[in-house]
Amino acid sequence: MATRAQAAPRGIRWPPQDPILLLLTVLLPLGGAVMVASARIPAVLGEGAPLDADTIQQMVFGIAGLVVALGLSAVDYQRYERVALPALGIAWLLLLGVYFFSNAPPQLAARRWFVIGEFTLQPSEFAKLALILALAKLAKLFGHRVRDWRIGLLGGGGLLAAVVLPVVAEPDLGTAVTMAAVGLAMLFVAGVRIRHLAVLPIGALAAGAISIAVHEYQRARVVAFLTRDPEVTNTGYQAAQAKIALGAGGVTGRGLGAGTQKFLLPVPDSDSIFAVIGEEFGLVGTGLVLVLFLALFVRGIQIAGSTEDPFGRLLAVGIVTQLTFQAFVNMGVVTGLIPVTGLTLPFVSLGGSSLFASLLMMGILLNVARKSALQRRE
Amino acid sequence: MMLGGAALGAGVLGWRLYDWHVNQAAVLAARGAGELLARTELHPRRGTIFDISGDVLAIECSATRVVADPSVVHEESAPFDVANRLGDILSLDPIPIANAISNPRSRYALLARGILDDTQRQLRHAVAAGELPGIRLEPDRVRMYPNGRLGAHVLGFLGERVDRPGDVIGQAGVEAHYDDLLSGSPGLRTSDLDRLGREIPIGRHNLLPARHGSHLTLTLNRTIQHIVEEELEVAVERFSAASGSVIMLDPRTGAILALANVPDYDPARVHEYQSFGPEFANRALSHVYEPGSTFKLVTMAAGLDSKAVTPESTHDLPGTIRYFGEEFKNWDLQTYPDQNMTSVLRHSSNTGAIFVADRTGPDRFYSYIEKFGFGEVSGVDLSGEVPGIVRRRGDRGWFQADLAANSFGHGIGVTALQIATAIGAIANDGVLMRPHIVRSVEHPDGRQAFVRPQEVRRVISSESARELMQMMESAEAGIVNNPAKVDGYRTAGKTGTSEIPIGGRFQSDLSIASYAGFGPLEDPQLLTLVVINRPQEGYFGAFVASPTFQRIMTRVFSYLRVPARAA
Repeated sequence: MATRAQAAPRGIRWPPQDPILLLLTVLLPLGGAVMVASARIPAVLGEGAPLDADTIQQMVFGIAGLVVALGLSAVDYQRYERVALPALGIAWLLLLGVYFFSNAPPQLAARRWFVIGEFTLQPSEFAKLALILALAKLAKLFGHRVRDWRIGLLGGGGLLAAVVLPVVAEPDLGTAVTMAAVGLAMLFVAGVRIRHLAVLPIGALAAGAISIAVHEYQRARVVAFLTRDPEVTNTGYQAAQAKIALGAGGVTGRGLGAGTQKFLLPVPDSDSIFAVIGEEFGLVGTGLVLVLFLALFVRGIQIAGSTEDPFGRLLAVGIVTQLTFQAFVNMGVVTGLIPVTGLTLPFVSLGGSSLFASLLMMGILLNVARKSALQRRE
Repeated sequence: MMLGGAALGAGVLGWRLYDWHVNQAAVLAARGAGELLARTELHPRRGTIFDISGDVLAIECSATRVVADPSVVHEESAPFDVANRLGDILSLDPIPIANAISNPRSRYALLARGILDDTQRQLRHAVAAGELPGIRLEPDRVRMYPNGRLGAHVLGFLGERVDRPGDVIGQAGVEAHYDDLLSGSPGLRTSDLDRLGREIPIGRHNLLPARHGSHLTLTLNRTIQHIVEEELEVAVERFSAASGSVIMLDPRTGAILALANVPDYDPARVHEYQSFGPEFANRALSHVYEPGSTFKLVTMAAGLDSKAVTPESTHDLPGTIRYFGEEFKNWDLQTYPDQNMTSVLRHSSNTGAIFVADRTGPDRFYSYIEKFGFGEVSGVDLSGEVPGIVRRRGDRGWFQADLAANSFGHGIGVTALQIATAIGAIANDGVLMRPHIVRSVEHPDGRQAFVRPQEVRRVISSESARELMQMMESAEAGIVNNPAKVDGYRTAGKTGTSEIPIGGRFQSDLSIASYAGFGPLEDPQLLTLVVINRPQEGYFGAFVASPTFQRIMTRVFSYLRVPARAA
């Protein structure tokens, strides 16, 4: 693999970057910004300007996120070891806090947000990263002892449950499932026995089932998914419109901005943006997105595999699982493989803080890559 | 293992993408295209109806209709509060309004239509101020008749279409006869709409504009119509008649200048009537009656033109005769020995008319009746016309004695319009004109088409027409204190009085009294027929109908500045 280390001009110690990760870090938000602008056409209809404040904000966050990612790629990831556990503590307190003291306007009756002035803070976004850091730290701390069921299953699983359950209770099932998946992947890589791990999905299923039984909108989503009836609920409608979008796009799509399904799709700039890509760029577009996320996953696992430091290895696994699993769920919803969840497509969907958080993780991952045998070998 | 899981997930996703993007593309794309496309019908503007001087008789105005979303009313207020406030503004009883919005699960209720002007403004303010939650104002159209009841039977009225609810269709008069021209044709806008009903700028758009209705200018004169209606109402009231009709036309062209019936109706308030009663009938062309003595003009025309008689032919005008087994009498039972044909008209002698018809013979007599247009519709451009009833020789139920009855206008069914048209032919040098009400049509593209007066046929020779007119004039001049006499003008006409058959028997105290006349004789340009049905304070045409003819002609001659005869 090529590296630009030798080409760096003297005076600036530009870290040698993993070319594949770097390409993905730039390509995904860039393409995303273009698609957000296109998907926002219905929202800005009749307002005069082609780009509204939300689109511009998205671009600003993207650029800032890229700068931060490149900056973080130069920051030694091992520094985070010390803050990992306190960060999780803070995240956990925020999660409990938001459950009891959320001041956001009731939206789907969920308690997910703090509103601070003009901004909204979603503790679960922060908790995602804190969980990854903490699990990586703990796995390194306990080493081979994770094979003991009391540590692997009770300790790891218990920690996971402590963080995920408040998210389930918010309720934010999509985020909770993603966090649980990330946690399981990390515990698996950390060496927890598979038969111990197998217990966890059973617990997760139980929690999920209770959540679905309690919350009507989730039940509606599941019913809509199972019956495939676009008339049943609004979510059935969402799935039906997404399907039409992909079909209308065909192989090469109708062209950027030329899609019309975004006028019918709910939240075309966020949850449904993959459908907009499908209509405007066809199989070529959606295939490319799929390949990019698959590349991210494969590269991330490769980096993890060539990192000897358990903290760095698990950090890499956690980050790529986090980003790609959420992307997989989002694409799965659009293609009708998974019931409708509120999960966005990382890097692409509208949402400044989410984009920023994703790029922040990419920055950390870039640094892990730099320290990995992959880099040193070349 | 994780890479395997990722490959599996990506594989399933990729397969799904391929399936939808490629395999199902055509079906899905078609479904999507169908879901977006919305069709909106664009309503054409209905044409305006003008009188001959360009005054508006019927016009479409944009108005407002009041629509409720009862579920919102219940959510944000109480139905009774809203109904009271609405009732206040609309001057309507709030109870029916409250009933209409009483169902909290309903989403739509039409509360009022055709709201105009001040009320419309008040409503707008109230809705804008949030006083009427759940109430929407939608555009509506309303047909206005600025002259109220004037010309109601000519204009007709609108009703809701059965095939397209919410759309209107002309149901009588000009509105019905010219509905196709007046209504135009709707346009169609097809466009892709989003979930909020907004047009998608990059979507498909197709606009087929509505073709607006054509404007009609009538031959009807608003002022003359007003005079005619006023005088007709006076007569009907004075003689306590059941009903009455007046037709005024220009015999030279067949143009109808005025046409009125009593009772009448208010075309703008048709929807408020409980049922379509007799006031809706355009009696002048839909009511068949026995014309009585006015028909003697037709008999005399036939006799003169067929050379069966001349003005100088003489006859004894017996008070009573038997004709093929039936007994016929003069109205006054008097015998007038050795009289000429003018006297037949002056005395309105039935036996004299029988003499003429007998001389003419049934074949020629009925052929003239047909040529004068009886037994078939005149073809006037108004809806509701009927052909009347004529039985000729050879028809079932015809007897030779019927020739005698027909000669003085009995045993034959006609409409007032047929009488006016037929006598118009005498005034028009023997040529029958098709009566008509529309003078010109202005199409939406600005083209204007004039309706040309239409000759139906020559009925009698020019000489016969002139002879008959002279006879009519001198017959009238011979009547002492003739109530039909129009001062300062030479006019000619004929009274008519017919008994009314009820259950096959004639009732002796009820009549249809009429007068048909025209003038000035130098160049007859106005013909007026007055028909008063079942007067209770009078019986004979000369007493009941002639004064109305005189008053109408006097006023209209003066209005039209027709020069009076030099005294």
